Amino acid sequence: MKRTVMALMIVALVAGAAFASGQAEPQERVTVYTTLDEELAREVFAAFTEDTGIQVDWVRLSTGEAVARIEAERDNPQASVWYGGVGLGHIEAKQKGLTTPYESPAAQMADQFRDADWYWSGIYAGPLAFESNMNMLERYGLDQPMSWQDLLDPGFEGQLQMANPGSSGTAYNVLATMVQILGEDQAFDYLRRLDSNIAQYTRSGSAPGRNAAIGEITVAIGYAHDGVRLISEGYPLELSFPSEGTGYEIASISMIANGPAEEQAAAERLFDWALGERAAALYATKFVVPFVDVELAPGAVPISQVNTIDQDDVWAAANKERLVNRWNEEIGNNAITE
Amino acid sequence: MSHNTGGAIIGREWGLRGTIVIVFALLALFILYPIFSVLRMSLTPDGVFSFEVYRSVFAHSRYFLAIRNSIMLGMIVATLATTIGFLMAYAVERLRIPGRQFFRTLAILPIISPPFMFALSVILLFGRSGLITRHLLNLDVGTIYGLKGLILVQTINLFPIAYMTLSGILQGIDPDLETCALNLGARRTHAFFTVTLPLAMPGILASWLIVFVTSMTDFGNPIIIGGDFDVLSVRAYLEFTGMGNLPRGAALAILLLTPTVLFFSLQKRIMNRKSYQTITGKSARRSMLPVPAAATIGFTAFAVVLSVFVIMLYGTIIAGSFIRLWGVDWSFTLDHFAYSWDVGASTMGRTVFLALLSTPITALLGMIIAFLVVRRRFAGRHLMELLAMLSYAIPGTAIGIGYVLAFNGAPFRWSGTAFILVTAYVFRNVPIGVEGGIAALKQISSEIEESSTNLGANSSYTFRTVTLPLIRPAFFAGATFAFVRAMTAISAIIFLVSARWNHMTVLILAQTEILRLGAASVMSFALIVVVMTVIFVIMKVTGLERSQVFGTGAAR
Repeated sequence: MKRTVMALMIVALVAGAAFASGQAEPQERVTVYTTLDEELAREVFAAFTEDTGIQVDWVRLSTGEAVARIEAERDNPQASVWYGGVGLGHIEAKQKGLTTPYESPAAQMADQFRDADWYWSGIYAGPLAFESNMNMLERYGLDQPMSWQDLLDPGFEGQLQMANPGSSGTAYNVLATMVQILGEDQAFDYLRRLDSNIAQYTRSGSAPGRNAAIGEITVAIGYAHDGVRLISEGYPLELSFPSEGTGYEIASISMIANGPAEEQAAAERLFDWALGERAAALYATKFVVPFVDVELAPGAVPISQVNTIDQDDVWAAANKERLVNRWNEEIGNNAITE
Repeated sequence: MSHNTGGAIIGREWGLRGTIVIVFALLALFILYPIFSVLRMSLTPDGVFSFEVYRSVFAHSRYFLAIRNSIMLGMIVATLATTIGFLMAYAVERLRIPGRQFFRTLAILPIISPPFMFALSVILLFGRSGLITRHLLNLDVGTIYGLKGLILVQTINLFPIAYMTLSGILQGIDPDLETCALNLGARRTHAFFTVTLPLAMPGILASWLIVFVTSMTDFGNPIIIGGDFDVLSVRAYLEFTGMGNLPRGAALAILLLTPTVLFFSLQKRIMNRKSYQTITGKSARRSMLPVPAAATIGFTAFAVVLSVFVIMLYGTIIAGSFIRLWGVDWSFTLDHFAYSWDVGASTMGRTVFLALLSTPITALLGMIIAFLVVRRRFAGRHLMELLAMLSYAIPGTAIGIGYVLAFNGAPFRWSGTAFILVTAYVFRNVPIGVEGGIAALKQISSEIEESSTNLGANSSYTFRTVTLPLIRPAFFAGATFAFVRAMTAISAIIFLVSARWNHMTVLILAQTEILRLGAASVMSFALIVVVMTVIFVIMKVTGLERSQVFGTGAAR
């Protein structure tokens, strides 16, 4: 019995120690769901804590996961702010009544980059790009694609990947971009021909880039900033932007409706800070283009030099269900999806 | 089950009655109610009762495929893992090949490892930029993601379960029976196929069933290496969290739960019958026949090859921790450690804290339930045992979804708290304690406790001063496994982690998803080290043998 007591005491001691080490609490905290790239999120929240002394508890969730999570917690919201994530997701959250308007005094983005009623505010734009594995291109004797048309080259058969527009905001961005460039029927005609080169439609928007990085496929269609992170880690990827024009995401920030009351002040400070210059400078290091004038990272392509389309996110959100259903009927149902 | 002999009838012991009521209330709240919530969500998608969700699940080939895939994978893995487990058990327990202790230890190792560690190292070794496939053999074998990879990974992961079940069974079969057959003129192989194998058959079947269930409910491996091979557990998670289709996620969880509960109870029945136990009472020392050299060599070679493979998978994780960018840049680095410390240190602290917190609670609750079930007679005794054992069979995915649905609003607002994680650990792992406790109590004569009662002690006093010290080994074995399982949990807790209370396995999964395989390796490695250290400390402090700790509850 002595040993039992001793063992229990040790357990209690270690537990206490572990608890104490994890619990050196500053006073103010804010809970955040973030869809920023994990590394960017760490840098951003560390800088915010440094500037304000406010501790950030955060979880990284994809856009879809974030909406689902906030919706599931609707009666008892756990987080105050949803930081980052495709604009369409923020529009969806607004329509579902999951977010609440907040007119930040720090807001200086153009009107088309925020919600008219201040439900969400854009923090940066990230263009769609092609991420090519240069080793694989060489291995198969292929040229780096420079246009949407290049992707139809029969040499790319089974070498391309994009996500499924049904599950990924990134891929729906691709679909909506093509419809806006070509018109609906011709866009579907294009996507049908593209389908014969696509190896697989992945679930997540950043998966194709990863698969290109490790050489599972050759070219991925995805957001440029997803590619940049992989390039900075040393993977043999290169980016190119389609000459016909490309779509982009407006990564946004929203205040979650009825978030924890004691966090409100801290949440507003974070929101304001997210639209400010220090945050923008951090976003810019990841190849995205903030809506605040800051110097871009060396090698980053300012969105002004990328041929972007005149994108209409409200239209894209309103037509999402219809377009995704049509895509499923004409292409997706016969395709392989992860 | 015949614990009637020792069952004291409850008289006016109000404390005891209170305990029974509380235990029932806890089991109902934390096991039944969440499952009921899942069922309710799947049957009332829009607030009205309908089978619509299930109809749409069966109408869409994607979901139907996931069901079929899960079953197919389970059957393949169960067959392979049971075969390997049997061969290992036979080699170690019957042929007594050299290096037995080493092989026994090795067979335990995968059980205490993070759930997807093997998937990670298989990707590092056999993926498109894998060390073996690409860099040593320069093969373009196609992708390891999918059915192939899953079969490999789950077989390695789950054969220890089969091994543990079957080595117990084989120890229970009297070798003299085989000797008799030989003396009667049978050849060795003939004796094996007509005596040993038929006697081991129920054990083989039981082990097949438990591996099948474990494979079906596995979440960590398929989400990492499943690729386009869709399985139910992952699909339910994606529908529920990724696509926000709560009713459909719930329906898939129910579809996953139905066969596992069924198969699990079947397995329990087989194991409880025990008619194949041929060693009875205190028997004389077994005689072991000399084993032909060819058999020893063959089985030893098999065990060595298997061990080398398992060790290689661990070695890969350790190597991966030090390599800058696997497959691209092979230079040595310590950066992954710095990064992992930065990202994971506080999560590791909290993971260990919650696991340690839940461990004594789990073990104690397990012992209390075992004591009540075995030693006290009250209406609903069997129901209590059934309820306590039920969560063994419930897939983590279903429990996770159930907890989210049940404890997210009034009157139980616990989402995002440490409390919900601790309860999830406690009630998912309590069957280990209950099972170990029941087994231990059945071996101890109830007369000792009765004497205590006769001398005027009440149930609570008897439990504390007599029963608990007697079943101390079972208590610590239960505690050890509760700890291991809490540290390596993923399928249920991935639904429950929050910004404040994240779990190491969820963090590792996130690293894998963003292709930071180096950091994922470091964190997996660290998790194994922590788990082994704690087990080591428990064994040292309590003075328990490894066999006592791992003898019970190891299989799941």
